[in-house]
Amino acid sequence: MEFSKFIAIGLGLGLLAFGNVSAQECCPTDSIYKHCNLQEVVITEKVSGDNALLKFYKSTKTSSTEDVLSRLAAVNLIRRGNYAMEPVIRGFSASQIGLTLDGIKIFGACTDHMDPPTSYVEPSNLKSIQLATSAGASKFGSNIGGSLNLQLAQAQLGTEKTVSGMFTSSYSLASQSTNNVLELNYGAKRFGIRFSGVYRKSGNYLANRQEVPFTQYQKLNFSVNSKYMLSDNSFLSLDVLADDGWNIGYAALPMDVSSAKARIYALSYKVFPKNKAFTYFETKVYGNNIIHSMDDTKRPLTPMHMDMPGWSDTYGAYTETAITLNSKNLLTIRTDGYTNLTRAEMTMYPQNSAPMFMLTWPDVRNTTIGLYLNNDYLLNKKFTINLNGRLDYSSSKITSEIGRTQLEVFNYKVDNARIKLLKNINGGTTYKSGNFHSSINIGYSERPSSTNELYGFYLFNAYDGYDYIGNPNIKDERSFNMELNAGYKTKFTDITVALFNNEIQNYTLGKYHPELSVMTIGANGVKVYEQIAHANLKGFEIGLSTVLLKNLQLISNARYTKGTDNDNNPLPLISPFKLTSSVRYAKSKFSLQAENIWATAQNKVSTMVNEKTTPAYTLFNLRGTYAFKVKQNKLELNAGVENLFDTYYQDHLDWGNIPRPGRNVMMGLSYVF
Amino acid sequence: MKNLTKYLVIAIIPFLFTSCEKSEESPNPTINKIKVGEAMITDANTKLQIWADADLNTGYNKLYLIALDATTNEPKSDATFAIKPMMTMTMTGGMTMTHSSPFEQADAAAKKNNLTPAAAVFTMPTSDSGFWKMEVTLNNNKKAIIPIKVEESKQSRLIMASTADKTNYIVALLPNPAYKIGANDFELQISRKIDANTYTPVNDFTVEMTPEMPDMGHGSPNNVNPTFVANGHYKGKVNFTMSGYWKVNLKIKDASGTTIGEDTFFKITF
Ligand SMILES: [Cu+2]
Ligand SMILES: [Cu+2]
Repeated sequence: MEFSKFIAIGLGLGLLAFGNVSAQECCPTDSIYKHCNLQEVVITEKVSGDNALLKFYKSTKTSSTEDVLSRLAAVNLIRRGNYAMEPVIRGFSASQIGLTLDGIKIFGACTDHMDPPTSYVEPSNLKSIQLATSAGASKFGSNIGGSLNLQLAQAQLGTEKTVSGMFTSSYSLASQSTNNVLELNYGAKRFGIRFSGVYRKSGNYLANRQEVPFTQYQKLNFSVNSKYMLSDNSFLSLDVLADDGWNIGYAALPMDVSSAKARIYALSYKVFPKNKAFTYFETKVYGNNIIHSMDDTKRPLTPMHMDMPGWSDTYGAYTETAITLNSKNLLTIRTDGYTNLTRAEMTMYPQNSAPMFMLTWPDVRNTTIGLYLNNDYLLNKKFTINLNGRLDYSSSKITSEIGRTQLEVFNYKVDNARIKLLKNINGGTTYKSGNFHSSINIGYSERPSSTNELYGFYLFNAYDGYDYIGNPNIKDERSFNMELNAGYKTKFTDITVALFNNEIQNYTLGKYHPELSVMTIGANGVKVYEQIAHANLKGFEIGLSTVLLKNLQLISNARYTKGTDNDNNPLPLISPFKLTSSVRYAKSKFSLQAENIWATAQNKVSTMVNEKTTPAYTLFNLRGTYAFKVKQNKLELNAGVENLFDTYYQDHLDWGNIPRPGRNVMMGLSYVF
Repeated sequence: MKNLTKYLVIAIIPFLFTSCEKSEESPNPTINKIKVGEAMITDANTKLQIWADADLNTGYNKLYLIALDATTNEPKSDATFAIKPMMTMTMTGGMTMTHSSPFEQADAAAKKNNLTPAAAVFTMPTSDSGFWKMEVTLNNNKKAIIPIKVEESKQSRLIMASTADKTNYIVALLPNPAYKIGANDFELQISRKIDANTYTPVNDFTVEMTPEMPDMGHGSPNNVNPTFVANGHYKGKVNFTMSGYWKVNLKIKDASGTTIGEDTFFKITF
């Protein structure tokens, strides 16, 4: 019912927009946004140099999406195994941030965050990364810590060659892993279809020349986009993505994953009206089904076999349009809604008695409808004022009797839906003069509480070794954000500095309850989610991209975040100061890239979650490509050495005492046709 | 979409009606019950029947008595009953002895649908050397002996405990056919044995309850200890955080604070 309601709203808005379409020329050239090219439209967002970075790293055909993400200055990754790392934006993670794929909401089916949606995108089907930290962060949903939207690659229409593509195969020695990618594009005049398929297989990697057990994985990823040009200014686009991972080791957790399946599909209609007022109009319906099965059968010291499957199904829709109110005013309207149902089970099999069963996620339905508005106002040639906000109506409800009665154990009354209005508002101004630009943004945001935080039932957290119980009575976390940006950009150099400060209220964390007995054998105790009055995350990022010599480019960034709680104690899982520097030499057929990653020690740790300090490390990576023509096509040789000096290290966001891979030599061959 | 909702509602309506019918006008008073014994009182032209919620088991059993006209099979609505469970045991050597068990007398005031409720706490199962029968007195004058069969309960539902002064107590757990993950009713009936044929309800005990899952070594939070309600009955709430095998440990104390029995518990698997 709730679902049908927001579909109706979405369609309603759609019709409204259609009503105003009249036959006029496209593209107001005097607008601050330029949308002339129908094929490749830049969405009205302040995406900084991130896509340059994306291009920079994507050029190495062996990288994974995570390799690319980790190079973004605002992004760090939580690592539990050698697979599906979880993004952290400026110290915010999980439900504090928004993760979407082409605006599609995806909720993991794993109670332990082993399957962030970013793991379903491979560089071969990734078009761009939209990272938003303050301005526009709430475009795809309520969050307090920023958002990452990964745009999927789309079919190319009217290509020079009707069929084009690429095949890459690479091999890494240290983990005996292969990565095989096939990309195909069929581009007729009005119709295009793009296929990408990836098969990756990895054994356990080596660190200090010793095998690190449970770091293996296998995965298959298929992504198909087909695009049909309905008229010279409108498109119909269908995306189908299937991602299957299996035999995935999670070295830092007590369980691995036997199977992780994701099916994601979306149908969208996009039009660039021949009307001066409307820049574009897009509507999309989507769905995704995630199944996740954890596995302990390969672990030697399991006291008792356990099955822990999880399911997450999401269906949603959104409609988005940008309206040029006048030559100085651009309004973006987005209405969206989704409904998500998650269930996770745990069954334990004792030797001589009946199986033991419970729901770790008690059939929780989350339904949210929201409205996002963004207005960019060009005050004069130098100043732009931006104001945006989102209002979400969010409901969470336990849909099954067993789910409801289970929570009686904690005297929780969950018969009624938990209904919240989530408010996000952000205002800012940008100043631009010559090569110099700067901006200031101030915002207030609220985020929905996660299923774990509300209804999680004895979820073991391997990080601190406690079982966690949800609390349906918690308030929603909220944050006051401030961000200052300044930059200098010439043809050869691009320097940016960002300063941010987030004052978080109702900061959610687990509080130890000694009177509760642990469910997980060997756990340290039981924690129930509670809130502290406030916490703070602040820090800075510096980015530099410059042409040093002809053919020689330097890309570098530095990042630092400091997190403190109510009593000025450090927050957990905060990355220390980190400096990433790459130089790239490219000349005709040949390119060489050398990279250094330097992280200082993290000694500010949270004793509340038994966090350990992490020593500093420095790493060197080297990658090279050589390309030559074979008839009309291109053959490219890739080679690289990661962790050149075989440093034995760990990043602060790595769980457990698991070392990162040692020296790793890889080779690859690509054929572009 | 609206249409879909409409059809769903229409589709659900018949189910609503059928479920109403079932619960409100039961044509047969003994529906969902099992007949566990029957006897004829020929001189009163009456058939006596004993019904129960399930097959009789060791432990606490709710019983329902009904008298039927032997010719028409119509219930006799004015019938009153008195029961007494008796066991006859054949000892080694051929000697026989009889004993009773704790029971709750048929309660005419609680008669519903011509069924008069009573209860019995069977202390042992029917076996080759011992069998149970129920003495039922109809309308204070006609007596019938109804043989009944008692099986060993699969779940543990009975604790025999004694004190240092050799006083014996019988602690019975009222059956709960639908244990669930969550909060469950937990009711005990405690009797003191006076002699082999006489038992009285105990009304001044305190009970402390701690459930645990022995296979995992954990307990559960927010349990409510059973407290006295009436007639030797103690009611509380037991919380199960998962399904499977639970051991519900009890610490039963008499009015002076002395613990009754050692290592007293019920095993519950669901
Ligand atoms: Cu998992
Ligand atoms: Cu258990």
